[in-house]
Parts: sequence; structure tokens; C-alpha cells
Amino acid sequence: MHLPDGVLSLPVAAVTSVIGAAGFATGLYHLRDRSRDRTPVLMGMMAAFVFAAQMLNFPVFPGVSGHLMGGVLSAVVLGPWAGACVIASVLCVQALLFADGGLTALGANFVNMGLLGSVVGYAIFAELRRLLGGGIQGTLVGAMLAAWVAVLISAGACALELAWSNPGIAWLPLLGWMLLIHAAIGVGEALITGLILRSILAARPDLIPGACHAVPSSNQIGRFALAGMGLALALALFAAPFAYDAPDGLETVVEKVGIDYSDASEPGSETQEIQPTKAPMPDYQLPIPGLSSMRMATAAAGVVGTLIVCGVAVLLARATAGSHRLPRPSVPIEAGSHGR
Amino acid sequence: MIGPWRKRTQKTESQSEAPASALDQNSQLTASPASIRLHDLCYQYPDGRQALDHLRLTIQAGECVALVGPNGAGKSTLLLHLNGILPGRTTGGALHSHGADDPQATSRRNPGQVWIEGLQVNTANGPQVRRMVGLVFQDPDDQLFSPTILEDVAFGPLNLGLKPAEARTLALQCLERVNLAAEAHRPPQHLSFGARKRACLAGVLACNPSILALDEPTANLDPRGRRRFIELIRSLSATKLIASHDLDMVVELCPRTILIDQGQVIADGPTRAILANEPLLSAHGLEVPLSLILEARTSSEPAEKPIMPA
Amino acid sequence: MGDETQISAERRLDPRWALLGCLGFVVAVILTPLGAWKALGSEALLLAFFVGYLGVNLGSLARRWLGLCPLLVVLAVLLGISHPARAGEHAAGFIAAILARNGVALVAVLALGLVYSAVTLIQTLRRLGCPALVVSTLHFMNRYSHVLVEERNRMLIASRARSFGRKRSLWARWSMLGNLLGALFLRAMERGERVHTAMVSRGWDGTIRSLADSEQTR
Repeated sequence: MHLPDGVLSLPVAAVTSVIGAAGFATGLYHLRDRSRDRTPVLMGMMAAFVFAAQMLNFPVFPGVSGHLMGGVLSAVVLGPWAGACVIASVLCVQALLFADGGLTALGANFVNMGLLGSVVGYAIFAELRRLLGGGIQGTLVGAMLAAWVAVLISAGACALELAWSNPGIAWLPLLGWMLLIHAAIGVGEALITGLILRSILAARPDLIPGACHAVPSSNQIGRFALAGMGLALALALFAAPFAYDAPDGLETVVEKVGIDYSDASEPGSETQEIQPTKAPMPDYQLPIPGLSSMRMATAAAGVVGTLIVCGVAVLLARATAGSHRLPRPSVPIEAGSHGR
Repeated sequence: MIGPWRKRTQKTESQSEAPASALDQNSQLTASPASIRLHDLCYQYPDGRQALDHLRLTIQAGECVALVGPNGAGKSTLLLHLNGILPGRTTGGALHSHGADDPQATSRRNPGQVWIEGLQVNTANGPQVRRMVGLVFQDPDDQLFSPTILEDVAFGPLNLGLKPAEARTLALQCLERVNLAAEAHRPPQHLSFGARKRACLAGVLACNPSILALDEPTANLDPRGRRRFIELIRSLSATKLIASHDLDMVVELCPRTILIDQGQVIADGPTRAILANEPLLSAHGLEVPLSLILEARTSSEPAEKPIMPA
Repeated sequence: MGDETQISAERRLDPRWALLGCLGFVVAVILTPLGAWKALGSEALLLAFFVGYLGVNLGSLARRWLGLCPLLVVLAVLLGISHPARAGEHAAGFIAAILARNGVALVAVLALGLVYSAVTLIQTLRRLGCPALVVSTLHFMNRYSHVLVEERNRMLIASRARSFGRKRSLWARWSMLGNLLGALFLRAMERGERVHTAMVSRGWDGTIRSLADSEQTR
């Protein structure tokens, strides 16, 4: 998902860079009080960890593997803005030293993975945790679902940026494909985030702000509320772009009449936004299946992914809460002084 | 600021509330305060285990004292208390996230007292105290966080308010002292373990502390690196408190030894007396150092020399 | 990739100019219209001059470039065939143009990363006005990613040494990876706490100071 140089058009790169810079400045502003405690050190450590962890691939399904993105993980541990700064540092090092992700796409990558992945991911996490009544289980389940949704949001933003950069590109199938692929990657991200958080919550829950505040009474109801909300969120996310053109049935008209929309190469922005996707050109149809099957597949992936993440999250949370004992720090250092 | 204190050196039992000895009165008369004085120091880990339990000890200026004891005895925690890092955290607000339902949280907030060169350690004079106490950590990677060795050694001086040019000169001098001047511009990860260890010491020396607290200075060093490091420590004039499992080094360097276990002082006295006391050592997970065994053998049985072939 | 190459490169071209130049160059290359081969050619010549001038290790440059090539090809092909306006007979030319353009941009970025050390580049960012918090995060990251990667490799070897070459189920692999990363994460955070303690004990008060702040050269 690291966009390289030359994929985004200059206006898109410029706009995303401006948004990214503004978001980054906001993050630094929020972090100004925290530079006195150990936040800077932990941010560096977190960046180093994300960097080291990203070299380990996990199997998504045979032949496809993904790696940790870490936006939600770092936000859960350090807070949303510090998490975004960590992602920015990782992206910076990857772009400058390894040419992984382009220099001109740095802004877009930061918007996708830092602002959307970390800040928005944290907002989802905080809301889910509140609904779940907090505590260790709420933290774990909330973080896993947030990680899954955050990956989808990032992928969606990535697809939209690509579509905007290449006028005339079939943006709806592109979005569908991105979401479909990232549904699998997102499940992986959620599982890895959950497994890492499980280790932390079992050994050092004090590292995660708010993990020790539980409201046990609402736990049972909360869990159901969470599942329902997570499902609704994911479905809304998946259905939104498709529900949009379903009523007018423009696409079916195009299919029937066979109008070639593809020569609409003038760079008007409004027209492309609602432009139907499938033009009956053989070369062009080749990699993209019919939109209706795409819609079904994407929606199915959304439901299945949400259910998998929910199920594993609840199982992991039960296991963690069951085996949870008093934490034993291996170093005699006091519990964290980092608020969020 | 300076309350009444008892001196506990040269005694092997410290738990009883013994009356002040003649030595105590002598030290009361001398004007110069002790280098390090801990009075009823208590500390609990976040999980509720007692790390330090009403610990008392006094170390005079210029002494070189060993701190021995099994793993988890509280040695490292004690060293961290010397510059007030832990009590400051204990009273910090973040504790509530963990210890809100802890009935003993209040006792943790009253962590006893530490005096460094007559100055009581608290949040207000923390910076002053940290200037006097130099902590050398066990793992050099924890301490060498800067991009280059030179930057790392200059970190302390820069924080003390020196100008970059002055800090640079001082850092180079300190690196010269530990024989690392040639490596000044290299990143820490490219140095050998022994060199990193010496770089840590240089970084602490650059702050010119009057007290050096070393945590396991010889751990993981090869014999040559260990020898170099021991000679380096010996050459320093500061008051030294060395926490170590390397009892042979203790015999070599420290005239006085304090044995602690479960956060309490078990024994405090001349190194050779304590480290030759086999029942005491084995009760607290330690062994008589080889150097003392060999010494005892050669002195008691001079006729027996079959160890080395002639 | 030795220290000497880097020091001589720094003497030849201030890393600040190199960094800004690289950024400008990449933007220029991206702005070059597809199919403008002459313009791209002259940009490539300019890049070749700097690569030679700075003494970039051509072997490592080629190795890294080729390592990233598959990604480039996939990207170019995807962009080439998914674009309705350029489908058909122009697709091959379009793909070649994207490959050439992105390939040149990639060489520039890779050369920058090869000729200057990570520490130099981070210090350069600082001198170009990057906020201190980010720079310190980058420094810590650069310093401790080595330590963490080593720890990670040791843990991987230890877990392999005890798995006796047995094939594991997908779930077993997953949970092994999760536990490994969890343990690594805990170690990283605990190390972070110890590093912070070490910094505080040497008088750190929250302000990040550096020798390089007032010096032009190392």
C-alpha cells in the first residue's frame, strides 16, 4: 500500500501533501506537552518496532502474505497523534533509505496510513472500547476491529487517490479490488494487532492507557453492541460506493446500450466521480470481472472479515482475561507516566 | 534538611533497631555529610511486590562499596533510587491507572528518604542530585542512544548547559580517558560490547559526578574487556557503589560489601569477612569467590602445590 | 558503502543540497510527460553525472534497483492496461514510458540512500528545519531498529531450533508469529523505559540537544 513515485498526478500529490502536512502539524501541536515525559523515546522505540516487524510477513492465504502496518497498534499504546508521528517516521525512513514509497507520495502515504490509519483508527477504537465497557477485553476487541476497519479505510483512500490521479480510470472496480484484497490483509492486521496486544495486556497492561479501567456491568451487553456496530460499520463502508449508483442503474444502461464512456479523457473532476465503470472494451475488461459479481464479492468479504475478526477477538479476549494475572515487570521501572 | 542518622558500617546485622554506636557519634561530629544515606527506603513494584523494605545504609565519601545479592534482591532498584528517578515516578499521576485499587498505594507514595552529599532527594532538587550521581546501566545499548559515540558522551554536558563546542571538547577528553577517541564518530552499534561499555562510562564521567553507581559492570564482558574495565573503575576517584554478581571483582575492588536480599540489608562489613562466610552466602544464593578459596588454600596448606604442573 | 565513501561524498556535496536536489529531481521526472524521451534522457544523464560524481557503489545500486523492479513492472502494467484511454496498441509504449520514468526516479532515491548514511540524512533533515520531535524519533528508530532486528532474529532462530523442522498448521504459525512480535514489543517498550531512565539520569529535561545544532560539519 506504499504508493511509489509517479503514480499520483502532481495535483493529487500536492493536495495530499498539504493535508498530510497540516495533519502532521496538528499532531505535533497535540504532542507539545508530552515531549517532557518518555513519549519521544517510546515513539522512537515504537517506530523501530514497526520497522522490524514489517520485515516479517504473515501468511494471509496460500501465496499471499501481508505485514503489520501498525497504525492502530501504535495509536492504542501511545495515543492517536503520537501513533501518527510514529507512522510518519517509519514512512520517512522507508522512502529515504529504501525507496519504499515515493518521495512525492510521502504526503499521500501519511494521509492514508498515519491520519486515516492511526488517528481515525484510534477514534474508532476509542468508541468501540467505550461501548464495550473498557477493560482488557474491551481494549483487545476494540483494537482488533479498529485495525480491521482502519486497513479498509486506508485502502479505500488509496484507491480514490489513484482514481483521481488517473482521469478516466475505472474507479469503482479499482476501489472494489482494493477493498477486496485489503479485506484479507485487514484480517491479518487485526489478528497480528490482537496477538501483540494480548502479550502486552497479559504482561504489562500499564503500558496501555486506560486498559485497566473496566466497567464490568456493561460487558455482556457491550460485546453484542460491539459486534453489531462493527458489522454495521464494515457493511456501510463496503456498501457505500455501490449503493450510490445502484438506484439509477446507469451501469446496466451502459451495458445494454454499449456506450463507450472510455474516451471521456478530459480532466473534468465532477463527471468522473459519477462515471460508470465498465466500458465494453475487450482489453479493458480483461482484468476486471463484472461489477455485479464484484459488488457481491466485496460485500461478502466485508461480512466474512468482520465476523472472523469479531470471533477471534472475542476468543482472544476471553483467553487473555482468563489467564490474566498481576503483571510482573521484568525491569523495576514504575508504571508509565504517559497519558494519552 | 538533615535529620538524625545512624551509621551502620562494620555491622553484620542491620534489621534490629540497635542503639547508636560510638562510630555513629563520631560521624555526627564530623562536619562533612555522608556521600549516600538511605533511611527506611521502601519501594514496591507496580504489581505489589516489595522491592525495597525499610532499607538503611550509609556510604562515606571516597568509599568503594559492593552491593551483592541474588537476582531480584533489589540491587538495581536501589541504584535507580540514588538519583531520584523512581520516587518521582511513584508520586506521578500515571500510577492511578494501575494502583487505584491498591490498598498499599499510600505506603508507596511515602518512599522513605535518600540523601546524596547531604541533599535530600526529591522532585525539586532532582536535577542537582542527578548531576552528582552517575549511573552506569548494565546493558550499554540502554545508555548509548545517540547516533554516534561522541554525541552520546556529549549528551550529559549539553544537558548541563555547556555550549556545543565545550561539550565536544569535554566529550573527546572523556573518550580519550577510556581509550575510545579513535571511535568517536562511529555509531554505537558498530562497536564491540566492551567498547560500548567503556563508552557508557565515558558518557557518565562527562557529567563529572561525585558518586558512581555501576550496575553489573563486568557482566557479559570477555576476560580482557573485564580486566580493562576493572582497571578503569579502579582509576576513578569518585565514591563508588557497584552492584554485581562478579564476586572476584568485588574482592579486588571493594573494601566494603553490603549483602542485600528481599529489599533488606542482610550484612554490611569488610568484603573479605562477608564473602568468606559460606553459610551466609549460600543462604542468599551466592558462592564464596574462587579467589578467596584459592587464597585460603595456599595460606593454610603451603605444602600442597599440585594445581599447576611444575 | 564504507564510511570513506560517505565522508568523501559529504565533502563533495552538502547533504542538504543532495536531499533537496533529489526531491526536486524526482518532481521534475514525474512532471516529464510520458513519451518525452529526450527530456527523460537528459534527466537520466544529469542523474548519471551525480551518481558518478558522488561515487555511488554501482553494484549495490543495481542490486537494490533490480530488487524493486518487479514492483515497478506490476505497477506499470496495472496502470497501462487499466486505463481506457491508453488501452490497445499504445499500451506497450505506455508501459515502457512508465517503467523508464519511475525507474529513473527510483535510481535517484536509491542513490541518495546509498551515498549518505542514515545518521547523516536524519541530521540533514534537522538542519533543513524538520521538528526536533520527529528528528529524535528518527534517531531512536535508526539506533534501535538494529537492536530490535537482532533480537527478533535471535528469537526466530530459537523458535526454529525447537520446532525440529515440523510442518505447522496455519494457526500455529500465526500464533507463533504473534507471540514473537508480542515479546519483541514488550522488550522494545521496556528498553524504551530504561533508555528514558538513562537519559533522565544524565540530566535530560525534555529538550533535545545535539552537537550538530551549531556545527556545519561532523
